[in-house]
Amino acid sequence: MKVTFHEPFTEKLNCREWELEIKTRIPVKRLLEIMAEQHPYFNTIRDEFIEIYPYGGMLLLNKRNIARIDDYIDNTDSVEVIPPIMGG
Amino acid sequence: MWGYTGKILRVDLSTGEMNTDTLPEKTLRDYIGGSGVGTRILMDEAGADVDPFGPDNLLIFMTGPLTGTAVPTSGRHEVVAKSPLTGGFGEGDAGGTWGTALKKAGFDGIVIKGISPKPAYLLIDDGSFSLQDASLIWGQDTYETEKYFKAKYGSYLETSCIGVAGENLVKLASILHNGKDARAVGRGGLGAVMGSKRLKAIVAGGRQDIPVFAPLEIKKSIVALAPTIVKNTKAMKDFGTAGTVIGCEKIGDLPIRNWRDGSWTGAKEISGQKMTSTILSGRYFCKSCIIGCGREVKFDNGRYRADGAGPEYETLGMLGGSCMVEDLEAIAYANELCNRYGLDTISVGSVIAMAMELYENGLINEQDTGGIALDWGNAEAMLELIRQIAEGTGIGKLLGNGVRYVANEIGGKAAEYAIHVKGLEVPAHDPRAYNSMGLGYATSNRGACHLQGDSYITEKVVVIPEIGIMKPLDRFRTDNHGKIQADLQNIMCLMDSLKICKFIFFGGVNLTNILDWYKYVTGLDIELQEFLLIGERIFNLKRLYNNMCGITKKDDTLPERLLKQPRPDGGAAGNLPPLESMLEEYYSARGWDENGRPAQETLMRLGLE
Ligand code: SF4
Repeated sequence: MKVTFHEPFTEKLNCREWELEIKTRIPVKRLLEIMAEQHPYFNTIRDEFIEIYPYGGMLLLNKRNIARIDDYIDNTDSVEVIPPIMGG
Repeated sequence: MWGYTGKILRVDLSTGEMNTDTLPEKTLRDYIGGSGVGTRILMDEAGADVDPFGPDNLLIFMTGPLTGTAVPTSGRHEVVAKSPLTGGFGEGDAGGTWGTALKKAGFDGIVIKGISPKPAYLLIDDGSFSLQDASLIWGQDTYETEKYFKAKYGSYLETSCIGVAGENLVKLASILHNGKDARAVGRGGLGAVMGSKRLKAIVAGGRQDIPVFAPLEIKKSIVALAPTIVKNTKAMKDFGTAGTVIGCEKIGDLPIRNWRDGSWTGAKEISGQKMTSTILSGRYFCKSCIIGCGREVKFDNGRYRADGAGPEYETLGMLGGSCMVEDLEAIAYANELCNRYGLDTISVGSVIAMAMELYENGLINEQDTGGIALDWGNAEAMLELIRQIAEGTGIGKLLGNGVRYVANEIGGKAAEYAIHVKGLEVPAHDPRAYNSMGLGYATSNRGACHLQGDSYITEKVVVIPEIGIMKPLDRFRTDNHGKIQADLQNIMCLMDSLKICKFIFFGGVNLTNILDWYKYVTGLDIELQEFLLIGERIFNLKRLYNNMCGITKKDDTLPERLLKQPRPDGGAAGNLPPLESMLEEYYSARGWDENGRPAQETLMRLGLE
């Protein structure tokens, strides 16, 4: 699964993209845990996503849908990590 | 009544007469305050036939029962008048400190009519009031005007004022508060209504207590909720509303090239994250706010400079994305110019983007622009147009009337580039990225406005269990819109009448919390259903006002570009809002007839017959 990062995450992670191997259908919540295993920065993101924005606002699925933690995804989906969209 | 000072000030600028008045308790119960009470007064005392710039149009400043209390984000007030830009119902909401200052001066609101024979300002100092000569500050910008009054009267008086744009009756003029912190009643040209009355400013302050029914209950509630509010809105404090620019571009929400393009690499150059790491000098909290989404910027790069409020998401979307300007400092400077002149950055951005498209397609040329090359992304051209719009010179004289007027004057294909609803320019959220926003824009009483229904918040992160929104909704759904939109518009009427910031919903506050605050402040023990009914009454009253202005179903629409031309790429590519079917659901949920008029039984149910 392709995970693409946008500012300011690119800067924090020093990369634009990850390729993750997801074997089964998993909830977004699990994806966040996998990402936290890859990079400690995502510990905060995971916690914020789950605790602060209980239904998400920082992951975009397949360039269209705003991900919720209980959405299911698999290897064919693409995920983009974007700053929270609130206010404005 | 608890929560109210019990007094409003009436001012006739033509005669100089001023007197205090009380509002009937029934009016306060039925319409709460702010937007609701302001609309009731406009309807009853001005009617719909008034010339927006004539002496009979009213300019109504109104606080709500929550204004000036400890309730988080309640330092707000509303201004209501017939709009010179749309010719229909006009209103605007501002944060800052002025609303609280007015209440502490002893007044819930001010109702102003007439036209002053010479420039004047209204001074309200701790219960006393007078009209003063404003000749000395006529022609000054809003930052200098506030500085002048602070120096003259001391820091406890706050200033609501217009800049040069309002004085020049520019229909995109706004009313500004708090000097360089620039909290604006932005939309619909209400600054020009103030200018038409030759009223430069209202300076208010005092030391009176605001009576609250159950202060301890409020305190307990705030202590319980504040940690969650602060935690949930951390991103807004860190990056302001500007922090959403990158995300909005990704999901296909940001306007790009006058709503023509679907994606834009420039977004990251003008984001709140970039602002934070470059020109940000501080954060601004409106009175009673614990969120602090306001930005302060300070820089001088020799070419552009700013020292005061930083650009919001809306400003970055309209002056940035829509005009393709990817220079953050140029936009911050443009924002400061608009604030100083007293101009609505949304409408200004929209009309400049339209001018760029007219220029691109040869409908205007350098002869019309006075030699300015209106190319996409030309920051210098944008800045020059802002000056001309405010001062009513050059092509700015035409543009200052808004996109609908420009389209009518130029004719032909120009109408395609005029992105408005009911004459009000569409703000920086694309209804092709959130179908519900299409319905919201089409039916919003002041014309295209993202905050009158605010439905997209329920498609991002906000839940409102009291109206059945248990988890965020799908932004591309094609049904289940009518009742939800109506409910949300009713709730936003409540927020605008109580006077509390809509961003509080991002803090995890729900409608029951807000109703509790209303009860604790006023002592009125009402049920949720009755509360919602008040919101519905207020929304329908505004609609009735618009009906009387000749606005009906034919006006509940979207510009062709947003209705029929999908974004070519990006996060909302290919999607179009299904407006016809959404409207059908909506009229039925509202209890309106096929022409978009509230049916007789709806009016009876709401006590509006
Ligand atoms: S959230 Fe922002 S706009 Fe709302 S009251 Fe607070 S500072 Fe003002």
